[in-house]
Amino acid sequence: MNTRIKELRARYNLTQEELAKKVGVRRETIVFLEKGKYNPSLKLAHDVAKVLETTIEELFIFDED
Amino acid sequence: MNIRDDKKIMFVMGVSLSVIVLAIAILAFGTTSSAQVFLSLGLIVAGLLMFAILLHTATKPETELVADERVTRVNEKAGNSAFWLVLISITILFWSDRVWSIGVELVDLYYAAMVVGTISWSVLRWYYNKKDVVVG
Repeated sequence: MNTRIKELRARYNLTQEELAKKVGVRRETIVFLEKGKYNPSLKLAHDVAKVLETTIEELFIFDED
Repeated sequence: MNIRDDKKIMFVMGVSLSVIVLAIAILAFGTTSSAQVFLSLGLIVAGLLMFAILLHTATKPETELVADERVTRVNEKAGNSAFWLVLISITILFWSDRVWSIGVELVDLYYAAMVVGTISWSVLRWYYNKKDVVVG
C-alpha cells in the first residue's frame, strides 16, 4: 500500500506532529501511515483525508496484486 | 529537551509535591508509631514516583501520549501472542511433570504464567510498536 499523505501534507505545510494532533493520533502513527506500514481504520483514513481535503481513494493507493 | 508546562502537568506536579509535603508533615509532627512512619514513607515513595513519571511524561509531546487505534491494536496483538505463550509454557510444564515427574507445584505454574505473561507482553509490545510490522 502506498500513500500520498506526505505529498499532501507538504502541500498544506503541515508537520507530522500537526497532522497527528488534527486527527487525534500519535506522530508515530502518521510516520507508519506515510511509509505504508500501517493499515488504518476507515475512520482514521476518513479523518486524514478530510484534513488533507481529499478522498480516501486519492490518499491511499493499493497495489492490484 | 523541551518540558511541557501545561495545566495537566502543573496539576499533577502540585499533587505529587503535596503528597511529599504531607508525608514530611506527618513524619515531623505526628507520633512515632510504626504505622505512621510506614504511611509517611509510603507517601514519600509514591510522591517521588509520581514526580518521576510526570517528568518523563512532560518531556514527550502531547501526541506521543495518545492511546490511538494503532497503539490499541499493538497492545491487543501483543496480548494475544502473550496469552498463547503463557498457555504453551504452562502446558509444557504440566505435561513435563506428568511424564517425567519433575516435581512442579501449582505455585510454580502461577509464577510461570506471571513471568512469561509479563515479559512476553512487554517485549512483544515493544517489538510490534517499533518494528515495521503491518498491523491490520
